[in-house]
Amino acid sequence: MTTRRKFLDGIVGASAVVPFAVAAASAAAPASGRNPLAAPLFLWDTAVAASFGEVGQRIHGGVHLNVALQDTAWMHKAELLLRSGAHHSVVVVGRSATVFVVNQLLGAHWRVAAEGVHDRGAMGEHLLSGAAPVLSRMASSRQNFSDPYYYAGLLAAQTAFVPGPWSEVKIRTNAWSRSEFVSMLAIPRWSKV
Amino acid sequence: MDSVYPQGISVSDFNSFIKELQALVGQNYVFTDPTWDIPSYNDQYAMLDKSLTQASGAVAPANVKEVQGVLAIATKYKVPLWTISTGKNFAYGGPAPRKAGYVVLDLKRMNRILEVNEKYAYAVVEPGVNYFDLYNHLRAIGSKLWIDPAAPGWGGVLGNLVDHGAGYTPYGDHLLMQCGMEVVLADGTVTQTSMGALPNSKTTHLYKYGLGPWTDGIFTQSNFGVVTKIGIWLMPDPQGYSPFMVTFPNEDALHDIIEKVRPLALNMVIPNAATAVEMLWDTAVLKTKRDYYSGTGPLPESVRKTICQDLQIGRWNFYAAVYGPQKIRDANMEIIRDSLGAIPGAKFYFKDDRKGDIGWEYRKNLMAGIPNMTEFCVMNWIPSGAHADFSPISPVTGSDAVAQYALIKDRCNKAGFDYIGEMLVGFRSMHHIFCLMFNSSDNDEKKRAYDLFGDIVMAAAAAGYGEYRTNLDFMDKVAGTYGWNNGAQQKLRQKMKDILDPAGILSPGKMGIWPSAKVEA
Repeated sequence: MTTRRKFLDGIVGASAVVPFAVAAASAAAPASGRNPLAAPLFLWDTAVAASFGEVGQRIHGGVHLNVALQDTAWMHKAELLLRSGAHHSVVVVGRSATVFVVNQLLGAHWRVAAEGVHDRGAMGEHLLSGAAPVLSRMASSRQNFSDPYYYAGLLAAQTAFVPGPWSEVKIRTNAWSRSEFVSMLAIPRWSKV
Repeated sequence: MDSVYPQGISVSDFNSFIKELQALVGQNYVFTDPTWDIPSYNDQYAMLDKSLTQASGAVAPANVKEVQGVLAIATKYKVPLWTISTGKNFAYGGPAPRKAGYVVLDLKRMNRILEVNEKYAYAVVEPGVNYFDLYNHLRAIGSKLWIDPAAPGWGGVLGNLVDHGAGYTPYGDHLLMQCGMEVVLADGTVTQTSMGALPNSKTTHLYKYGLGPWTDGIFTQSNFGVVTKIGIWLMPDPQGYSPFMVTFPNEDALHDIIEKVRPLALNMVIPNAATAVEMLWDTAVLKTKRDYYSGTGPLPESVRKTICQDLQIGRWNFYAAVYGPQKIRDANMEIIRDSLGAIPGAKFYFKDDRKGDIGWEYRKNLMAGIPNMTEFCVMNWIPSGAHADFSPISPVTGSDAVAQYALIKDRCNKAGFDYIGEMLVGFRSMHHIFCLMFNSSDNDEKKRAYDLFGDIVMAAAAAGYGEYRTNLDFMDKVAGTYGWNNGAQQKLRQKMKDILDPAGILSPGKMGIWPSAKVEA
């Protein structure tokens, strides 16, 4: 990893002075049979559902961390995973503050390709903004919007696109819950597109 | 985002400036890409258009020598810099500069914990060290010393201190606990302050004041130099710690709470930041507004009552702790119980009460010097929650507390916002933190928040209350309220600015201090 990437990942400080107590290996293992080097990384706010765990793993594989602001142990794991170079995408689904914190951990090594606001007004409305090709592909798979697990997988699949102007799209499905959640897809800045 | 450039600097000169920076610190640590680099330095909670404070670039030196080099190059091209440490102070502008076009001087790479002295209970850190770093390092080396983190804990130790930040242990007045400082002046001179100016000094981090005027203070909340190192006193293990929470069901209890707390704080019966929290702050840590209310505007009184019953909290909730051996804590708690327990409806909770209440858990951790991120949950209260903190200082009296509460709450509600606030009682004064929360994706709401903030600044100043620090967008306005004798203090600061930084390259406009050539109209 170049020094530039390390810096933009925002991890220079912590790693230089404090050995992380938690190794990346302690993060949830990818589903069997999948190549972790091509795996998405799911950061799943436990406010959405208690755990990405079995359901998400069964559907998508990849590597996941359950995250909650009241327990910061995940932050160190996430920083290690984000700089590991082992993930083609980062998908975060959760409350707005949680996703904001993850966004700040990303650094400029990762480019945010799409953001979503879900269940606006508890009406099952999803407002997506992001690179137009990403939104176009996602809008054609609206059946995946009905459930946060499937939606997370749909986001993780949007890793190849030609950068261009951002646009917005609204999709209406059943409501996930009474709460409003947000989501974010990030892909490596140096991805070949 | 399009590229922006420093005011008055040609694109050609700017490109030459950038090339010289790259030659100095390496290409990897100079950032100019407006799409992928610069957004990291935006004000994420901007009430106005983010482009108004968009940086033209950023440079991240690795050491003092490179800082000196950056200042020399900036002086040569007259490019304004904006110094940050970790840039996480989002309520006050985060890493964004005062004006569009500045180049951010990002000190994140200077991240060493240079010393931990267990015997004398201090640490020496560089600007890139955050509270998690310091806490984890102390635990890793087996130190018994406590830190005093800000909430949330990703803030920088040095950055918070030089911005006059505060915490929740008895060492919560961070500037008071600072001892020893290294500063790079605009002309590249490196100076040690106070005792550190004595060659081979044995007391650089033990005695604050040295000989002559105490110069450390002029490098805080200012733009007279770049602070590259500080000593910070750490709290020895107190041999015991008893946090407590007291709930008060009545809104008008605020007056009595503050009256009762003043002597307890003055006499150090309560030695840490004694904090009276309005119910909505505690609620927002745990719940969203939509959990209780689907209407628009401020939360109705009836809903507030429902929430208090539901969450078993008061209209005001008081947090503090006593420290020391058991006998001392027991004696102090007896005094506290007698005092606060006399307020109608007071109900005490202790360390092992309220199992599963993450609000109580994070308060307990903060008062024990354990950094965490829980308070950031407050941002979930409304969709796309963002905030700007208004933080006036007042005397520790019930009447002042009530006056400030009314002044802010009334204006806040009329503007359509919820009052979310807390009052932290120190030795002689009280910080009132009003968290003005707004929806960052709603332009109308952002505009109303901006207008409200300006209104409150002036109303508070007219009532005799000044802010102890402020948001990027209001630095001139708040500095202008300190206008006694035709603004004599600010004129003094401007004279100092012109002498110490004649080219005006260091953070122009920080807390309203501009070089005379760039004084705002």
